[in-house]
Amino acid sequence: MSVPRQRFLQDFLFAGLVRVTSVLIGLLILGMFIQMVLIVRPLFEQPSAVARGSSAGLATHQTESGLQVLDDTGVQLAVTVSTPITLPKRNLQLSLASGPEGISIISESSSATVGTSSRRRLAMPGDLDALSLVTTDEAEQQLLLIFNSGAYRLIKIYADGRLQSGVSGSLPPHRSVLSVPGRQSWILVTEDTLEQVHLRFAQGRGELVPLRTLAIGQGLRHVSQVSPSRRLLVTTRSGSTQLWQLGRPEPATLDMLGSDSTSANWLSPVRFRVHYESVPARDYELRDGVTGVSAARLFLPVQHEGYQEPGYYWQPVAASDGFEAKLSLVPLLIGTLKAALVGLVFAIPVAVGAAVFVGYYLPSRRREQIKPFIELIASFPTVVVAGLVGLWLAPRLTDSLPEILGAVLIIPLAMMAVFGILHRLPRASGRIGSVKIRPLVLLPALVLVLSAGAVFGHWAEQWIFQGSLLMWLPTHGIPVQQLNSLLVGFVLGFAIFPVIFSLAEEAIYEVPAIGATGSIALGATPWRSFQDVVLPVAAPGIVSAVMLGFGRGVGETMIFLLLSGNAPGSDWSLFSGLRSLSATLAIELPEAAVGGQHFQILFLGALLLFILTFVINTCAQLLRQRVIGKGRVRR
Amino acid sequence: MIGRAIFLLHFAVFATPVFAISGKLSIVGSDTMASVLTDLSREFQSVHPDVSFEIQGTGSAAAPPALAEGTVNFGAMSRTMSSTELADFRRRRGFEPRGIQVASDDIALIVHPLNPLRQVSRRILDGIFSISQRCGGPRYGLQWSSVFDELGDLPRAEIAGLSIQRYSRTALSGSYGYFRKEVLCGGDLRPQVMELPGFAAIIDAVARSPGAIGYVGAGFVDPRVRVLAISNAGDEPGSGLQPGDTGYPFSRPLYLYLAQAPGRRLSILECAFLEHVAGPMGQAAFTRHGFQSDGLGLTEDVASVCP
Repeated sequence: MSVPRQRFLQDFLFAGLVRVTSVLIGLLILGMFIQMVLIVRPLFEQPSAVARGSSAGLATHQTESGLQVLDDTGVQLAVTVSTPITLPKRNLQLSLASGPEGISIISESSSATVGTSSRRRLAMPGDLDALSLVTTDEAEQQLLLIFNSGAYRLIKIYADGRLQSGVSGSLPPHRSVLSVPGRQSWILVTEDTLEQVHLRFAQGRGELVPLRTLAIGQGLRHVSQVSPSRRLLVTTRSGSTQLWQLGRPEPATLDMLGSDSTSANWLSPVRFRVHYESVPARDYELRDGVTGVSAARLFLPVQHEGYQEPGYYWQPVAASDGFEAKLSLVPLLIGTLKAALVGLVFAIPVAVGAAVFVGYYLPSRRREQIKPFIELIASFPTVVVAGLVGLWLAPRLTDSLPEILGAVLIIPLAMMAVFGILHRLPRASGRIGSVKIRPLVLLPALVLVLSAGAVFGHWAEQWIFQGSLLMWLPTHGIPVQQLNSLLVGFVLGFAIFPVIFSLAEEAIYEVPAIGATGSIALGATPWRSFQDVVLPVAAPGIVSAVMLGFGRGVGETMIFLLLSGNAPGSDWSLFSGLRSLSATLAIELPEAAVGGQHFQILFLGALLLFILTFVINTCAQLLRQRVIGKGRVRR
Repeated sequence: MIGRAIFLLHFAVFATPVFAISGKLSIVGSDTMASVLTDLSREFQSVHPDVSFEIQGTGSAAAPPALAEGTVNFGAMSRTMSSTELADFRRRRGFEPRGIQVASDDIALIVHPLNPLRQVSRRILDGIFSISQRCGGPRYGLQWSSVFDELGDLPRAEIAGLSIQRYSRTALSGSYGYFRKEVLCGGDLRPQVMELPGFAAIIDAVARSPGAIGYVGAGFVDPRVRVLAISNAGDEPGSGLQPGDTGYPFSRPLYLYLAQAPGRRLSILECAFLEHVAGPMGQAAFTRHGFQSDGLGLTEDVASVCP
């Protein structure tokens, strides 16, 4: 084989290899993307059910067209009045009786530690027969009586068995009441709607407040109990079955169940039995993994059971039964963006300034000496930075907050002042020697400016903030946490600084020197030449460097985990903590049950994170390629 | 699919028959129990040098799935399994898991030594930590002064103007679940509550900032922070109980869960370890770590699973 031919073959094979590799990497990314989409998809699917055989052998347990009141799993207290209600947490027994004054409630403490069992009685107006629900809240602090007429009364139960009549009020009249797991909310069944009410505490007093209305539309025939995963099956007069997930505004209609059903009841959290007019009852199971979360629940304010007001809350799990998951992704998105933006505010001036100095002013030999050292910062594992720097810095940052804020805030002011002065001075006197002695002049100046800022901050604390900024801020509605966004932003800035520096410096250095030297030869100052000749060419590269730095900040995990406090607040305050998507994934993903709702939502968060960084990085790369292309054309 | 393949591969590699007291014991679960379990394993190894241990303290929520998959010998939990976890276990294994209470752990409320609070009630804690106030607590403002003002006769404290900084464990830990359920009457924590990944981190954070309050396992407490007494009834001074006192309200059970199929016996290794835990050395280890372990009938429990 001749040499040129061999060469050609080598080239061909090599080019093929490169192409195949890039396609493979692309496919890998696409595969991961598709995998995540597949995991997340069931969140937004309509639930459906599959048949699990007919229960023909069982006697057709026909419930009449009347509504059936079923109780909560296990702990729910019977509506029947004669049997006493036991409160295991409080060692109490309550019983209700009709008396001349109306209803009397008798509490009997059955605890041995209290001593002899004591009996207390509370009388209240009302008719025992008109009661539709007697229950306590989960903590057994309140006894709740709801009457058919819609009147309700709360009775506070004290530890010693004392009862005190509390708030009473009225709700819509109803035919029966369903309990929602968690004993924090109940559903009143009326002729054709279901009204959910919840127990809300304010200043130590509870009250029952309407939460939402489930509009059935076609008239109710039967309602199942609420399953532990907060679903209920509603059979309408027309014989169709609706599946309601509490918290979703719309029901899912289960068409596969046929249209002549008379009732549907849960057998287990996912299995249910449907009774028909004509055919024997059949069992169904909800298709696995379909958890049904509306986008409104993820991204809009939600009124949760027992909460004072609607808001963005992230509390997806709690190891207790009947827990209502709070699934707003908003706090996590705000936390992630807030930290990344603060990080950029710290990193951009330092990184871009250093890039200009190293890439434009420094001679090549010096550049090559210093650049690797700056880039070495990137090789610090962020967990070490967070653990050492962050935890050391955390108490010092809050202790000397006014001084640090003063020093940070004075820099832009000082820069503006210096530019303003230089602008007015005659051109020659605006120069400070050669590039070699400039740092010797500027560094002490910087130290002076920073000290002046710190002194100013200290002074401002004494005179403006009444001696303590840490106490002044919360008085004005801004809480100050030790693990706060400033701290996270500062340490994050440290982590993304080398990324921005390295790429921005590259972009500035890549600009062919001929334009700059030419303009200097024509009499421009080096800064003028940088501003008008180099910067326009390098700007897209610098912007892309900043974007890549942002992408790096968004995906960072360890700094967030250790320094952000992981409090899922949804404010933009710099002095409070935050919870980022990445830290949430790190904390919760290992513990989430595979295929469960929590798992899927975490993956939705991961998908958002992926899309965010992917879009940012792609844009940044496109920008970079443009600038590199420009440089080449000029050469 | 791949997870299942790896899971099966584990079996092929590790499922070697055990003849003497040798082999590997793996325990996954509660972070609270991790250090005491490590101690126990070290003592056990000094008697049985051929036994190796793998102990992961990631949080109680990790125990039920690992136990259901059959990848671990014991699941360490600082709470009982919830009914959904039990149901999930039953669905996958077809029988009930068995939980043995090995000790109890008191949850201590800690503040910075500069804080003038000496004692709190459930109602005050509800006001500080909860967003839904299910124990009927007041709704405090941002600063400590709102707590102090309500309590009245506290010495005028220098920290009164500071923000209240609340620290908690992450939402998947057993301690968090316990705190939510027993201290906050099942209410939710405020979104401002900071979640740190371990008790040591909470103690560190509280020791560093004068406005902080947090909860930790009593065994972790060190002198840099002050432990608050808990009053069961009203807010009268002196009525509070310290962790370790009998009747301390926030005491939670620590369990070792095991997956023992009906009619099957535990391995000799597993039984030997359980007997070690119930024995005097094991009990001493629990006391050393600040847990309470008397009067639980642990020996009878162990005898019932290992005849």
